[in-house]
Amino acid sequence: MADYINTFGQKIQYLSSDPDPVQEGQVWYNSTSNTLKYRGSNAATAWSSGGNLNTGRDQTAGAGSKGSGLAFGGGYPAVNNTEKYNGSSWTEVNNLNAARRTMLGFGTQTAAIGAGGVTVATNEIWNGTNWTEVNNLNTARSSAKGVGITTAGLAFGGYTNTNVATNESWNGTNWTEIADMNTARAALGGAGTQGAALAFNGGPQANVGAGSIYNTETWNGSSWTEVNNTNTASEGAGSSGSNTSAITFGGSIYASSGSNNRTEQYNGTNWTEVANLSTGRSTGGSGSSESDNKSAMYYGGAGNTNSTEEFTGAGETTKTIASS
Amino acid sequence: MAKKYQYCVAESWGKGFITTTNSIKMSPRNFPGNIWRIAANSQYSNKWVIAVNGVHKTLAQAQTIVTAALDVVQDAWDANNVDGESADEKNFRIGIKPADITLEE
Repeated sequence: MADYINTFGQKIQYLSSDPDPVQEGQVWYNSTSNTLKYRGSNAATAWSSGGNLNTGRDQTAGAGSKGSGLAFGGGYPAVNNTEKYNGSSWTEVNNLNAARRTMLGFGTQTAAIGAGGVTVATNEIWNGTNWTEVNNLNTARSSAKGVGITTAGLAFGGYTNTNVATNESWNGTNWTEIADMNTARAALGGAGTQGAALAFNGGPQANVGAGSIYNTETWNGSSWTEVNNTNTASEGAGSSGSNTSAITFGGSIYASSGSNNRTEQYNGTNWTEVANLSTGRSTGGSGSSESDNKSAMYYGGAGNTNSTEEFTGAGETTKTIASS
Repeated sequence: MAKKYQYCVAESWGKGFITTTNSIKMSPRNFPGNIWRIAANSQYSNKWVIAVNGVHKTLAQAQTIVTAALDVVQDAWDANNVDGESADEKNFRIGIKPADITLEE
C-alpha cells in the first residue's frame, strides 16, 4: 500500500483542532476528536438516501458525523440500542446501560456522551466500545441539546415538567450550572462547541397549539445573545454544525399539526432555506461533530422510522474520512 | 394546467435509493405507504422509477394508498393510551397525531 508521504510529498498534519484558515485539498488528523479529515468541494445542495437503521426509533440521540455516525437510545418505548454508521450501513454495537429516549448526545463515533432523557439525570460516556455511567447532570431533564466533545461539553434547554433555559458545562468529570439561555425551550436545535454554541428553534413541548419557537441565540462561553431567527418555527428538528455555520432540518410545526421537511442553513448572520428532506419528520437523530452546515445526516424519527438521509451542501466543506 | 408531480410506489432499500443527483433533478418527497412524489413530465424521473422497481400511480391511486397507510398509523396513535395521561402528556410521550395528507397534482 502506498504511503501518503510518498504519494503527496508531505506528511498528514497532526493537530489538536481543525486548522483555521483551512484550504481546499488540505488533509489533517484531529487528535482531539480522533478523526482524519480533509477539505473538499461540492457542486450543489441536496439530501440523499443513507443506509437504514437496524432498529427504527423515534426520539433517538446522536453523535459523530455523516460518514461516521452514532445513534443511541430512543423510543417510545425506550430502547438502549446503539448503532454506528460507516457512511453506507448501520451496525449494532454495545447497548447503553440505561434505556432512555429524548436524551442529549454529543461527541464522535468513538467518544460520545449520552445524558438525560425522560426524566432522568443519568449520564453515560462511550469509548468506542462500551458505555460507562459517569456523573449525572445537575438537572434531570429530557429534550435538551448537547454540543461538544467528551472532555468539554455543553447541555442547554430541555423539559422537566416545564421548559427550562438551564445550561450546564461538562469538563469530562462533572457538570456545572452556568448562565441560562434567554428563552426556555425543549426539543431545540443546537450546534457548535462548549465555548461557541448556537441554540435555535424548540418548542413548548407537549403544549400543542402553543406554537414552536423561532429564536436563535449564540453562546460565547459566558453568555447567550439573541441573533436572527430561523424562517420556520419548529421543534424536534435535527441540527449540526458550528455557531457560525449551522443547519437545521425537519421537525414538527405544531401550529399546522405535522412534520415538515424544510432545511435551513445559518451563515453566522441569517438563516436561508435550502433543499428539503425527502421524508418530513421530527425527533430523529443527527450528528454533532460536523464542523459546518455543508454536511449533515438525519436518521430515525417519528413513527419509529429507520430511514436515514445524508445532506451535502454546496461549496467547500470539511469532511471526515475516518474515525479511530 | 400541466402537472407538477407524478407518483409511484417504491420501497427504499437505503443507501443509493436516492442519490444527490436524483434529489437535485426530481425533488423527491416520501409519503406513507411508500409513495414517492417526483417531478412530472421528466424522462429522468421515469428512468428513476424503473431503476428502483417502482410502479407508477395516478394521483387518485396514490392518495388512496397514502390515506390507507395513514389510517393505520392514526388508529395506532388513537389506541396508544396510558391511564390518567393528559393530552399534552400523550403528545410528549409519542408525539402529535400524524396529520391528514392531501397530495398535489
